Amino acid sequence: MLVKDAMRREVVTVRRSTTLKELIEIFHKYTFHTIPVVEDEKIVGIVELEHLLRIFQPHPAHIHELLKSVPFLEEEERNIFELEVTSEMAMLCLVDDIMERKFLTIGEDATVQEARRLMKLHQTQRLPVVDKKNNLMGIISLFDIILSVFKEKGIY
Amino acid sequence: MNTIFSLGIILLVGLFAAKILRQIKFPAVTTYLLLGIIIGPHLLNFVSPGIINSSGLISNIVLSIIAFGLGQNFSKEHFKKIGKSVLTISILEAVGAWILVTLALFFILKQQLYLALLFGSIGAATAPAATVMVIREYRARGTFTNTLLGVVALDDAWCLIIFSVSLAIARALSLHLGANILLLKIFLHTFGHIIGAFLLGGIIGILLNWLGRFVKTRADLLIITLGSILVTAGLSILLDFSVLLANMALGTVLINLKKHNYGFFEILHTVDTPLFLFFFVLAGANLEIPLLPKIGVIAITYFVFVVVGKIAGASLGAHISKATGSVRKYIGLGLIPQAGVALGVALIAKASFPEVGNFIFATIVTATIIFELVGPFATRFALRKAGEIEGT
Repeated sequence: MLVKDAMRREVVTVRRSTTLKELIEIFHKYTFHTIPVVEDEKIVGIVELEHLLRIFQPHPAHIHELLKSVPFLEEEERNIFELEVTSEMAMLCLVDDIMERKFLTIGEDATVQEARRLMKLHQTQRLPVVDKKNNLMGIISLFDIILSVFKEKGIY
Repeated sequence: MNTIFSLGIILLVGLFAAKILRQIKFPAVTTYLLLGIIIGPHLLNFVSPGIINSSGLISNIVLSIIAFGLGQNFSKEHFKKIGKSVLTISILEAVGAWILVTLALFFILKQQLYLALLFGSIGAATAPAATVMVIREYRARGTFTNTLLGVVALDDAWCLIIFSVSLAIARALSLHLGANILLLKIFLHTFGHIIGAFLLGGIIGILLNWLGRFVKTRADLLIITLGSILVTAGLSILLDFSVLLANMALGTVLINLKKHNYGFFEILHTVDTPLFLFFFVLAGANLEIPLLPKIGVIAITYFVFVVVGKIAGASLGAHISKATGSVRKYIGLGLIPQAGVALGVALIAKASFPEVGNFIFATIVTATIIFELVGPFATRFALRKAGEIEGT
């Protein structure tokens, strides 16, 4: 079975300019927590729950990406209960400040087996599905894959 | 003491010592290094000879992993994002320290050219971990801080390239010492050493990218990544290519072939911390303490010219790239710390030139301790002067 046959086409997305407040509302409303960031129909990043903690980072995202390759860097021990943040952050902090720029996607013509392999390998349960021009076409989750197997076996 | 017990003790004591000294703002790298010196053969003699003898092996493996990781910095996307200032400053501060230290050792201290070149290339290193620690501690933020972070993050990659080239030239020079130095021979030797490494890393990178599609579990991903790094290192040694450049090329080719290949780099974080701990403790244990009284003048010259080279190179880079006033004035001061990569390449120099290796290594360890003590103050001073520390 191909990804395009198992994926969901209705996708909740955000924009780079979505505020932290709006993002929290989306996380509240939906049970899934991997949301594509879209610009001109193209996927430019993703936000997940743990990325919310990035509002405490004082530096731009590309600097943090660069630092990932730095050897011997000690992990910052942060107590999130003692961080100083102000209420204005809800409006000032944007998705662009916290989104992950290194993300996985899968082509709509790939097989569900390949989607499952990538999910296992990268420890994720949702993959944005793109066409050849990197336009967002849908999203496939572990549940969608399991559902497709169950349907094939007549369980569901 | 048996080797396994010794390894276990190093890991446990290293971890606890780092946690305790962290309270007084001591970087983990320096703690491991000092621990190594204390438990090394000249003081407590707590490290088994088997482990000391395997230092060359461990440093080659660790540096190969580091070089592979740094290779991912050279992606098209990164270059687009980091900007002209960071790129120019990082290249010129590394080259500045390299050239000034080499010239100072050759002309002022009358050292042999190959030795001066090796010291110069080690001088190109900075210690991003120490710089980041100061920035986090003082919650510095702003243009200056971002430029500084970008520069230190890139610097280690330039240092490995400069060191690899210098090592190749130094080896060619030392091979032809005594005979008439034939420039063409040295050039060909160096060129072959470097181009061969790029080709080898590139070919293995293409193969690994292709093999990646068959990897099904994270365990397989870790094994195939480590295996490829070791094969690249091993073949480089066999074919007399640069181990560091070959692994850096492997990382660069992989990340440029497919964006999704970042998984190869991330998986290594699951194993690198204990390896790094071993590496630094062993670096400390390798220090020949009896040599220390003899290195005074060289260590001081090295320290002074690294500082001058970095400040001059960084300022020049900032002027050329039309960076802001505070970046032009103070960025060099923020780049003084030096530790991990400098020690790693010094260990490689030690193994490559046994006759002067202990001397080079003892000098770099001493300089590292001074850099780690003085460097953070210089970084803090630069951040404060740039007005990017809260409350200043």
